Formats: sequence, structure tokens, C-alpha cells
Amino acid sequence: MTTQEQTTPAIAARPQARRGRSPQRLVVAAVAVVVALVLPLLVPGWLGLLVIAGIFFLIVLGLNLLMGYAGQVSLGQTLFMAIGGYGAGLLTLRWHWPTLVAMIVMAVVSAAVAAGLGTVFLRLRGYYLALATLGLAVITESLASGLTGFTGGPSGLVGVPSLRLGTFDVFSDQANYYLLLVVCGLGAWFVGNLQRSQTGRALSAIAADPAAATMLGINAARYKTSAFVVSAVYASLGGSLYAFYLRFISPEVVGVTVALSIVIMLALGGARTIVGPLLGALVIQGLPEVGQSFASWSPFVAGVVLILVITYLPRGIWGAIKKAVQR
Amino acid sequence: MSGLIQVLIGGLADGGVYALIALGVSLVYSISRIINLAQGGFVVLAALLAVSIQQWLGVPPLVTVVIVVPLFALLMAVVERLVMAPAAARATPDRMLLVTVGLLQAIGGLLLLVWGNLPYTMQPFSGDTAITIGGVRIVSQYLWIIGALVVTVAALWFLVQRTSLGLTMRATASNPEAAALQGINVGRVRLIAFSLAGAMAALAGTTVIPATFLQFSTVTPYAVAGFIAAVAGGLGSTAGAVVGGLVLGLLQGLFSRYTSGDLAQVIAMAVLIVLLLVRPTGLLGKTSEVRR
Repeated sequence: MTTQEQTTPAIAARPQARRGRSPQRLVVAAVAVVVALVLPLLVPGWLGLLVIAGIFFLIVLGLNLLMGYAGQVSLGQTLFMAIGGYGAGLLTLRWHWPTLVAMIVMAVVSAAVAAGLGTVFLRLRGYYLALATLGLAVITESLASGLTGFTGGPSGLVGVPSLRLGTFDVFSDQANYYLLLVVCGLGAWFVGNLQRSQTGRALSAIAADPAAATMLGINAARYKTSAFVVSAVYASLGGSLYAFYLRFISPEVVGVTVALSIVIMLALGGARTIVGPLLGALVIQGLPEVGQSFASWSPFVAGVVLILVITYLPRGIWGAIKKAVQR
Repeated sequence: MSGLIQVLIGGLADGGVYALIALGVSLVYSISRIINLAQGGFVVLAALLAVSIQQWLGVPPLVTVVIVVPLFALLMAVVERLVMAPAAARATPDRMLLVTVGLLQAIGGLLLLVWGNLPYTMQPFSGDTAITIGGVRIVSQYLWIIGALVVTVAALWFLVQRTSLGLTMRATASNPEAAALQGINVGRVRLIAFSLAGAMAALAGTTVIPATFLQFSTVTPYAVAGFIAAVAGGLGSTAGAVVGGLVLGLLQGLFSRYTSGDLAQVIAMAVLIVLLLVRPTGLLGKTSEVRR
């Protein structure tokens, strides 16, 4: 009996260690980096799509931490996208703040809002949390189109400047692509490290069984709120970058449909991984680009694909690929 | 004062539609523990189908109800067998919610494909008539909406409380495993629940379309309103769904008198979120439902 208890954690820990620094993984990572670097030269026509997909990758990565690891469903990530997007847009447009400062300030504001909302909202469980956060998404869209004097109403905020780094304007698709490559790389690195850390295991424990996690001395409320805060910062940065890239933001950009599609991207690609969110963002953003005649089909196809993936591929597309490769 | 009453009556009519959606959500939840977010999507689908049927056949608008309601009872049974049952056998409740999000998305996509992005409406059932009481004008279609709600609630009450099928439904709702051990075919009861919800969605869609304009993008607001009404009223409670729907409609109507429609929506949502935080069981729900 005792031997069994001792060996079980050892078995569980082995794949964890192997995942860390194996030569194959380093090679795969290096190839991925090279491909990402030369991609603009290979498919210059697809850069716009890649930039948008990159922005959503960032937002979905943040949600992954909250939903994938901590198991808390949030349908309201657009609130933080809106804070980041509209906040940065207004600060730069009306008060001529430097773009980078505006982006960082709004990320801090989002973190504060998430910390405040999180302590209240994350007491709700399952469906009730989903409902409350869906309420946030509805409020976000309504405020964006209702506060006409502030947000420009339904027609949106026009003339947002591009992001300025020092003396360089991140204006072209290519510049935005490389910027997002760096930001998403850092974001993925952070989430990846967190996943393998004590915090990641604590979050997984909370998702699996909150009561048991509390008995092990994990402060579930604090961890859940932290995950919510981090997801809000990701969404806020994504929202700011989106506004700077489009040089425009409107209620449609932060609508309820977008809020749902962020969750769809995570479920589709595969939660609890880094590649999953990227795949999900590429598929959902890429579908309308497949062809002119296909564009009108893409919402329908996205819905059907989501149903099929959730039903038959519980770990998402990436989970299914990994399983197939391991076999 | 009459202006305020006018607004409240409009809110009540909207609330009647939300209540019909919430009833379908609540019924399906009590039998299967699935929250069907797509219920509001089926309402819009039924409404636009009714418009097309009315145009093809040239029948009076009221006749479309007789056609669309049985059609949707059948359609929802097919959806249960093709989509819900295979998914529910594999996915956890949280992920089932995402399946219904996918279904909602697919319905919106289908509407866009078939009907395009234009808004549609239909002739009122009893013409453009209205009743005026003390300076308050009540559009006749509103009475049809409230009538549909009353008929649905009465029929549902009779079915659940007074028939043997209702008894098996109540048994399944309170404990599916125990019901199965008693020889109840739980799968069939679920099929019936979904089928009834489909009929309700069709009834809501066909009665509301003459009073408003609907298009592919209205699926999300209806789905959200129905979902919120069901949870605010208390999931699994018939009276709760009706109260939740009517209160939501009234709140939106009331606030839209003093602010813009968008801000009215914000206040209505804020009230409901606070309600949820203070009383997560909803207005009329039981505590045991939430702890599940």
C-alpha cells in the first residue's frame, strides 16, 4: 500500500519533467520560431489575418489561464478588451498621451477592475459565473454604443493613432505582425512557465475539486482572482493593440458575439495548452478568409465545428493532434 | 402617466417573449441539466420561417403558428437526438453550455445564409388594430403575445401536474437515476422536453415577429435575455421563468423611458447581476438546485 502511494506521484511527475527541456521539443520550438519569423515573406497577403489572429491568441491565452487551468468560465473578456481598446483610444486621441503609456495604464486599470469584480463574481459557480460574466459582456457592448459622447456611439471611435515605440510608428501590417510575435511570445512564455509552476498546479487543483484544494491549504479565492486579473491584463493589452492596429474601435469590436467567439477559440483549439489557443484563433479568424463565397458560410461552419469538437474532441483540435502523434 | 403605462405595456410584451424563451430553457434544464443557450436562436429561426411560409403560401399570419409550432417540436427532437444526446453523453455540464453556444452560432449562421442580413417583420394576427383604454394604446399583437404565454403556462401546468407523462417528467427532473430504476425511459422524457421547448420557441417566434423586426443578429440578444430570465427567476421553476421574463422586460421598458435603450440594457443587466450575487437561486428557485 505504501509503495503504491509513493510510486504514483513519481509516475505522474515523469511526463512533467520530460516536457521541460527535451532536445526534440527545443528543435520543434526553434523551427516554429524560424517559421514565424519568415512567414510574412512567404504569405504577404495573409498578414492582416495573422495580426488579428495574433491579437486574439493573446486574449485567448489569458482566458486559458482562467478557464483552462482554474476551470472558471468567463464569457465577459470583452469588458477588458473594451477597457484596453477604448481607454487607450481615448487617452491618446483626446489627451494626446503617448500610446505605449496609455496601453500600460489601461492594462493596470483592467487589472484593478478585474481584482474588484473577481472577488465578488468568482464566488459564483459554474452556470452562475457564466451568466454573470455574460451580463458583463452585454453591459460592455451596451455601454460602448450607449455612452455616445464618450465612446462615439455605434459608429465608434475613429482616428486612433498607431502604437509608437520610441520614434518608430507600428503602422504597417508587417510591423504589427512582428510586434505581436514578441508580445505573444512573451505572453505564451509566461503562461507556459506558470503552468509548470506551483501556481499552475494549484489552479488545476481548484478546477478539479475546490473543496479538496482548500483542504490542501490552497487559498482558492485568491488564486482564482489572480487568474482573472492576469486574463484581464491579456485581454486589455489585446484590446489596446487591436485599437492601435485598426486605428478605430467600435461596439461591434467588443460585442457579445466576440465575447462568445473568444471562448469558442479556446474550446476549439484546446484548453490547457499554448498551441491550442493559437490554433483556435487561426481557425476562427481564418474561416471567413477561405474564399469570397465561403465568407457567408463561415459563422454556420464555425458553430457546427464547435459542436463537433466539444462532442468528439474533448481536448480540442490540438489535444486530438497530440494524442494522434503520441500513438 | 399614460406615457409611462404605455412604456410598461411595451416592456410587458417584450417580457412575455423572454418568459416564453425562459420557460423552454427552464424545462429543458429541469429534465436534462442542460442550459440550452440556443433557445433564443430557435425563436428567431421560427419567426423568419413563419415570415417566409406566410409569403409563399399567402396564408393569414395566424395560420403560420399552426404550421411552425409542430414543425419546431419535430426539429428540436431531431436536434436533441443529433446534437444534444451525443454531446451530453461525453461532455461535462460546463462544456455542454459551449455546445449550445455552438448551436446558437450555427443558427445565426444559417439565418445569415438563408435570409441574409435584412430585418423581417409580418402582418399582425388581427390586423393593425389597437385597443385604447384611458388614453393608453395597446397594440393587438401584444395581447396575442401575452395570450400565448398564458396558454403555454396553463398547458405546461396541466401536463406536468395532471397527466401521467407529467408524473414521469417530475420524477426524471427530481432524480434521473432513480427514475430510470423505476422503469422510466429517461431518454424519451428528455426527447419530449426538448420537443416541448421547440414548440415554445416557435410559439414565441411566430407571435413576436408581427410586433417587431428580427434578423440573424437578433439571436444573441434573445438568447441572452431568455437565459438571464430563466436564471434570475430560478432554474427549473415555471413560475420563476415567467416572473424572470416579465421583470426583465419591464425593467428594460422602464429604464428605456428615462435613458437610451442601450443604457436601459446596462441597468437591467446590473440589477440582474446584483440579484444573482445576493440571491443566486433566483427569485423563485430552490437552494438545492444551485448546490448541485
